[in-house]
Amino acid sequence: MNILELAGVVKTYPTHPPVYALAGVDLKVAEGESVAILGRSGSGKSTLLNVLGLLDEPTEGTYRLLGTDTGDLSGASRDAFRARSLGFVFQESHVLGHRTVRENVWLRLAISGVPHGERRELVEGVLGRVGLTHRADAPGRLLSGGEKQRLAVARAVVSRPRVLLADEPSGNLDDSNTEQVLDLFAEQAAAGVAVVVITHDSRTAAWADRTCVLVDGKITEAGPR
Amino acid sequence: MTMRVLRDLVADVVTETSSRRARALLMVAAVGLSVGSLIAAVGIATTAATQINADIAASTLDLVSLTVVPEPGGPPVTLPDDASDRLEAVTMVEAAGARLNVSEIASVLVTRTADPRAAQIRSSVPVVGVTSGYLRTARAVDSDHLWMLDSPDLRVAYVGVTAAADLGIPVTADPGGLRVWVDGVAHDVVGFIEPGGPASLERAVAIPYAQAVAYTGTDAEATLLARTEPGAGAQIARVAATAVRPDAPQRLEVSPVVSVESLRRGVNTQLDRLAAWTGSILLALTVLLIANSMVVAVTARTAEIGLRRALGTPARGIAAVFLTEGAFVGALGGLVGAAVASVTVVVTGLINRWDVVLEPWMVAAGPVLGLVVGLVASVYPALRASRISPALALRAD
Repeated sequence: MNILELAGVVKTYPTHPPVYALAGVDLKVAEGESVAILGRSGSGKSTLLNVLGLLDEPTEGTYRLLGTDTGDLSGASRDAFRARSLGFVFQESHVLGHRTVRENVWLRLAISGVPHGERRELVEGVLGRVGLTHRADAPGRLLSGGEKQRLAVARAVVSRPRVLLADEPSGNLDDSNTEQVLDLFAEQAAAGVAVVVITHDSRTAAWADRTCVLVDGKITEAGPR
Repeated sequence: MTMRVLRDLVADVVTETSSRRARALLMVAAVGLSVGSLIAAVGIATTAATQINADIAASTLDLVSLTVVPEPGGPPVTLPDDASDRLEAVTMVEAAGARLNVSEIASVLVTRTADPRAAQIRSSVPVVGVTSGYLRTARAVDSDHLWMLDSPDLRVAYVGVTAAADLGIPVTADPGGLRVWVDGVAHDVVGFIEPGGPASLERAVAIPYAQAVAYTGTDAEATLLARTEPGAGAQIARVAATAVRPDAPQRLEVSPVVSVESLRRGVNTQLDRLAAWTGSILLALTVLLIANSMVVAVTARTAEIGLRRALGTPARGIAAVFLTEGAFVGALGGLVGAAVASVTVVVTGLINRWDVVLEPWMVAAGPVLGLVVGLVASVYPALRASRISPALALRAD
């Protein structure tokens, strides 16, 4: 079953001259599938991730997420979809440095509307899975780069999303930390989560079930690893 | 520093400022209000002080008193029947009237009943005769029945509230049916005289002036009081005696009266206005400063806002975060401000040996005022934060 499905997606920014960030993208990602999107800078990778993550709307084309045509969704429904079904991991982990590790994860559950009684168990569980239990009370700013990225993964998956979107998740990490993060992604895929990773890193691309190459806003090559 | 470096520096600052127009405008407004409030506070204080001076000068010169100069062997009555009218006819005189202290000439007993032997309800309350114009001039009574005092036939009385307490008369808005006996003659109570004002009649019973003259047979203890337009007292004092007794002005002694009540009212009014204006300006300044700080905070937290949006927080949720933060910080600031202000007021009072006046409601209003100010100040930053595109915000780092 396809979790997300793009058909003829175009994204144009109305500047002078206009920028055609996506020029007709077709993409399907199934449940439990991991897909790596490769491409050079300016090829439209981040725009594609924004569209997939409902952070931006396509100018043309359709995007179906979990069977819903996202073009029909109101702003509030898109927000609710993000809170319920999507998880994000960014190159800059965007960890809130003044909050503790536990509070960073807690925030995600609060935004997703998870009942208070369930939060503690979910937070402790996910911190255990990413190996941050011993750092639970440390402020985010004191974490190493690898720890921050593992915290970002924990925050993304704690509410059990159906889709995990990652933008250069290993961009700032060494090999060891990259491996840890990819293992966490693999766990998610094995649990049925659709994982889409935008990357420059050949190792991350090799890890995915399938790779797509984005050139000038179009996917020109796609295939299994 | 060479001219080229200076030019580049200025160009750099202009570009930076114009590219962040809203923030720059808020900072300009904050600095403008800071400097403006300082200059305005000094200006308003100086203006108010000048006004208070003028009011003091005016209030000491808007009442003129004329007293009878006794003349051995002369006629017992000095003031003509129309003395009040003569004074009121003078330009810039707003009201005038006569008063005669009966108790200083004749022994007059005031009682609650017709029987003066009822000792337990007897009282040594002074009796004065007044014209309606006198009570109007003294602003001692606000009543529709003052005209009765000008009728020599009506047996009526206005009773001072202290005298009423001495006599056991209840002070009521409708004194119908209440009576006092002056020297055994019943007088219907038509009103009460509150304390204050230049007349100081709250301890007395006031009866029609003509009846008072009939009791004493002389107006040797009579006083004419005239209220003039503010500041005109000196001019009126020069002509008052001639206006009343053109044939014998030397029979009247004229003196300006210092109206302490009027003086107090005037000073209070000016000080209240001073406090209100200075407070309003400082409040506006506070709103601007909080708004400015919050706009800076929104800019600094752009990436966090993007993250929250990505996690699913709706735009109104972002606005709610900043509004709540503004209200919370405002309320907390108000609480701290109220505490600091209380200490400041007490210390200032102690240093200057003033009686400290600190209304509890003013202290309690501090956090509420802070909350409202914080909320109002955070409206614009909250709207601005809620409109940030999450896709762009996530790249802010």
